[in-house]
Amino acid sequence: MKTVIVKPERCVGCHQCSFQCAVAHSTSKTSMGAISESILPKPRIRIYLSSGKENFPNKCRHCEPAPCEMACITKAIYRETKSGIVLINQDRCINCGMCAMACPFAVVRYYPYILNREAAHKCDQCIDRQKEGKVPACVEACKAGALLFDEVNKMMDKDAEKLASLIYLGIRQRVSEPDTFSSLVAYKQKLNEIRRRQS
Amino acid sequence: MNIVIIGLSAAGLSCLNTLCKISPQAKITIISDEKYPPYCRCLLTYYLGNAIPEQELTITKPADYPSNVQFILGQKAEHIDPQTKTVRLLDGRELGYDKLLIAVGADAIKPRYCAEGKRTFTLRYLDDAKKIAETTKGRAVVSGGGFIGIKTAYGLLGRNIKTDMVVTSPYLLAMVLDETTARHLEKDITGMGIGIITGEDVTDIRLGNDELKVYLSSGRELETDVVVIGKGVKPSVALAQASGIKVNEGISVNEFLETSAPDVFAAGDCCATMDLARNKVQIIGLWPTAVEQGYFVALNMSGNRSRYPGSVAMNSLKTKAFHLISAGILKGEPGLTVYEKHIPSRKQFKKIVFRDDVPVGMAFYNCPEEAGLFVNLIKKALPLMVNPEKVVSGDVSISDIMKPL
Amino acid sequence: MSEYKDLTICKDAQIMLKKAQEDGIETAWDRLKKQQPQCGYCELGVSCRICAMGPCRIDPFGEGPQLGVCGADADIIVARNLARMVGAGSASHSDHGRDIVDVLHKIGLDKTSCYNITDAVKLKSVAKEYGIKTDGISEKEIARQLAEAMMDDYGMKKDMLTFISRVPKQRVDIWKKARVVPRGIDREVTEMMHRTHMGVDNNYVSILLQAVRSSLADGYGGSMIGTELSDIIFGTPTPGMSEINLGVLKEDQVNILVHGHSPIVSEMIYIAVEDKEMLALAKSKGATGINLAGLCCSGNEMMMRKKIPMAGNHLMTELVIVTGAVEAIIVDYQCIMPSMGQISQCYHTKMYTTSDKAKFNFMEHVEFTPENAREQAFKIVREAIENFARRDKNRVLIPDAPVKSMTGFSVEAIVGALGGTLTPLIDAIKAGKIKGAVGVVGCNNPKIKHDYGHVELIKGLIANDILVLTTGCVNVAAGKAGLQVPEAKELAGPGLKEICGALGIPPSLHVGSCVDNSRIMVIASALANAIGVDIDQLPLAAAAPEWYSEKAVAIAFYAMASGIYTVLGIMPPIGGSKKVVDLATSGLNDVFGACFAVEPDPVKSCALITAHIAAKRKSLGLEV
Repeated sequence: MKTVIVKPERCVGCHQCSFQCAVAHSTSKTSMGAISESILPKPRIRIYLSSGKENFPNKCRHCEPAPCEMACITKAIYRETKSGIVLINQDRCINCGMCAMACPFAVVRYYPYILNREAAHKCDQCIDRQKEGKVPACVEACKAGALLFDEVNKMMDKDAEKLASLIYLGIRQRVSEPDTFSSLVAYKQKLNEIRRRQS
Repeated sequence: MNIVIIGLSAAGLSCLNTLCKISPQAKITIISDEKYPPYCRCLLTYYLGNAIPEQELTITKPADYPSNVQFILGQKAEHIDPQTKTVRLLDGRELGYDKLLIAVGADAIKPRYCAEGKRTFTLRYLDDAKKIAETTKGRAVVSGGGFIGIKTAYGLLGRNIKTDMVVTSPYLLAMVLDETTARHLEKDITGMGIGIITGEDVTDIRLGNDELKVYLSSGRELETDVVVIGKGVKPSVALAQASGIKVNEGISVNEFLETSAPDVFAAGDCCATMDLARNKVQIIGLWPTAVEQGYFVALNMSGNRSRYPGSVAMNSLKTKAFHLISAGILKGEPGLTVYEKHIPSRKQFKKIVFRDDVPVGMAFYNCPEEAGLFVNLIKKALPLMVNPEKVVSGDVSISDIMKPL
Repeated sequence: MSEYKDLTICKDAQIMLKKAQEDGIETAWDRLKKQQPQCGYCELGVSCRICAMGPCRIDPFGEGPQLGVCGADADIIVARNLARMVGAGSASHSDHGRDIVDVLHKIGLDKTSCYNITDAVKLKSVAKEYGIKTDGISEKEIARQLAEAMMDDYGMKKDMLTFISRVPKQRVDIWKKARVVPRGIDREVTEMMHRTHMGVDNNYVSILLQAVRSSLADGYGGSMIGTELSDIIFGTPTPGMSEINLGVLKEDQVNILVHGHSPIVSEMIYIAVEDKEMLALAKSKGATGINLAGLCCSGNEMMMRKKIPMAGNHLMTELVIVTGAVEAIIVDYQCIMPSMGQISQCYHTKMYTTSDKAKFNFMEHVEFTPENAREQAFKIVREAIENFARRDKNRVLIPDAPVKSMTGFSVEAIVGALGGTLTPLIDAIKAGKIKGAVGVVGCNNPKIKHDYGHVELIKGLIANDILVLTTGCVNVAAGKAGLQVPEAKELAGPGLKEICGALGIPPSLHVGSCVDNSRIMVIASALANAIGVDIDQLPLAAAAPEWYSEKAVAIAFYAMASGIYTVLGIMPPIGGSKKVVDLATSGLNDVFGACFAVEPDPVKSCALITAHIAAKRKSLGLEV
């Protein structure tokens, strides 16, 4: 089963994943249209900054078993049988807040989903897009390769192969040569250190 | 394998649903003393508040289950014989079992003035909610300042019932919260039109011409249509005791949720389990905890020997005006350090209680996003690796808290 | 093949896209696909990179920051971004004009043997507009004085550009009231850059008014100077026939293309190509001749004046190399995709840059100055002829046959075609034979099906008896679709058909290159002056159905400011500020009597424009 795999070390913090996630969950599915809708769509993936170092894309992991599903007292949260995606039936959601309390990854939020009614919102792994043969919106949006859509085992194999070839070709030294992004990260770390020393 | 489950609420249903997944060939009989198909008790205040209709209370229907699952509704289990491994129902029927789950829940505490005909109810069962709705003519008094009391009052608000809460303690949720948080809560609740009377107790209720007169400990008198008692619950141990199964505060269980009788398990509000924050065995009467326990019982019944790790007391109270999430120990005790911060501009309040560097309690008011992280830290007794001052001020990002995990 | 039909309506492009894929060439369409989805913040105009306190973005979904670090809100950020687009566009056109002023000046100082005056009559009339006495002084002296007077227009010596005198007084009064009268060509662009620096202009209306002023300094400044001086130095265009599309390339001839903008370069190449010695050299290498063709505005300039054929517009420029039949492409500046250098490496095509302002990888730099231009042109043409031998006949595919297209409709030519005055045109408009006129202008953009936006709109307009004037890439689109020959009158409505038949002109007139949009401004002013109204009362409109460049934004702004309703096929990056959108689509009406509309569907934009023209006719008391 394919899932969204996050590589935080490649996240450049552009927030495009959040943006396109919100657009993908709008009615009009365009950026201009989305921002004019009466119920503003909200992103289900968010980027956090950790201590000025790595950017951290945070979204629902579709855990199995899912703590939110177990906490939900109306069975509004359920697991879609074929895909294994954990979904929220917002019509059944009574907005009690238990799922946010149960979620160890802080991915549940509460917003209006129709006029005058709030419900829990979280990542739905873009199940509608997947049915059309597309990848989740956040994956499509990420141009830095921080979000990938693949089976975990296959991804692990690919990573292992890459590591193996690096070791074999003895390019370990080259790996430590900074690319443009890691130079930026190193520079930001320096700035943070100076700030910390001064405070 | 022949499995009998007594009780059709959170724990019983969760055990049933898990067994259907992992032991689909087992023959399961599930007994409930109510005539309704399995419904969610927590939704009763929402039903009371007209937020959801009766049919949406139902979680599943007997017809949803395969033929190896049999429902017996409206029947009480009277006696269990651990020797012969049989359960005797009130109507005389006897059911044999290979594995048994007692998930009979708890009974609402009824003070002496809570007699029949006095329009006084507890709110535990759907029938209670129906009677309350029928009886009130526009006013109600809720006795008790716990979560149920508050949710009941909020529910009645949804039916446009003018409600007053009578709270023994000096402030709401005294069992759980500290005074600062409670005062924030009280302000938001009175702002919604619910009256709060603290430091008082109901001493007597008398029926007048058509109204109820409620007498408080100070001598003050209230006039209303119906009184709802929310004074807590006591685990239902009668069945277990009568059957010779060991009982202390609730039904005694070990870490595998086994009772003193072989192949007999207990789960839910009727038994006491490990409270991870207090590091003590006690009753944690919460729906998600019961669901978790039912799940573990199912695992252990199917031969997947799994230790139930325990849980913490946790609660989420969400209304249009506020969202309160609390878990664990919130009252300062010797050996505990408390960090708290109130951010008025955002109407937020955060409190974390530590034993050394491990969080053992938290209350987050209007900042539910990170709550789940802390509930998990408390459950797993993991130390917090970032400065707690910064956490309560909201200066730390989620990823910093999650990173060491 | 079917997927290529989705990308372009042109048969030659469809065939080339297939060949490009087979040859392993990546095109602009491929690169656009890879960029999807493009950054939502930038699309909405709410990302700001102007200072190092940033980069900042405003979250349109309300969760994230609503202000940049400096405190700018979405309105300010969107306005600054849009204004800088106008500034860049105006700067480009103005620099183009500047280089031609330099050539005129060198002609005047007798410092160049490469260039001379072709239209002396126009030289004198323009000089008169600049207050230069032309009696009793030589052409060269008039040229020198005119060039120096125009240099003053570029600076800070004046309160108002000279060509503003061509504009109806009511219009200038509106500009005075709004404080957008352009004072100096470079001055307005510099002030635009100043105002959009952090901490200068932080009111979105104020910023956008300066953008209007910058655009007017382009439309009635840099562009207009470029047009008029090009006419003076290289000849004012007169009507005649030429050909368009990739079929203009010849299998048996040395194919040389000019790309970019300024006739300063392309006219020199033309001289070299026509030279008898060069022709003899070509024949000695086995070619039957030398075939000069144009791309984009260089092509437009050559087509208007010398009837040189055009191989294609913006999205065709990569595909022309893929034909494998091009020996040399000579570029100067603007709208040249850097990918062309990379693509030329896959074929025998040699590419040359000629301006120190525009250097590219994989292209040889042969710098043209007013002194050495001719010599450099001959050098390149000689090399191109030598390159003919390296053409691999097995990799050549010249698709389709060329389409005839009429060109050369300068203002003077149009007036000439009308018999010497605008009166016949005004009468036709009054009688309702011609309902109105629309300038369909601008570029290509792979976000819109190539040429579809242009062709469908023009077909719709002419069917509604609306005369169309085309410039830039639209000329190629309309010409390829057969809309710019007199026979195309059959596609026009009955009134327009009658007029075109009577005058022997097509319903869609090629007016020139992108700086020649100034010609449309001249006609608009002339019509307004003749009737005695302001431009915004005339039944006119403008459309840029497939625009991409910053220059197009500048043109759109000066058209709107002149009182002409302008419909854009691509949404500019302003969606993130409701206030700016409201201003652009209706607020500007209150100030300038015209505003913008965005409509990617040419059928719908046609409806918008015809409705607008009908409304204008009604206000003038004309039959709708």
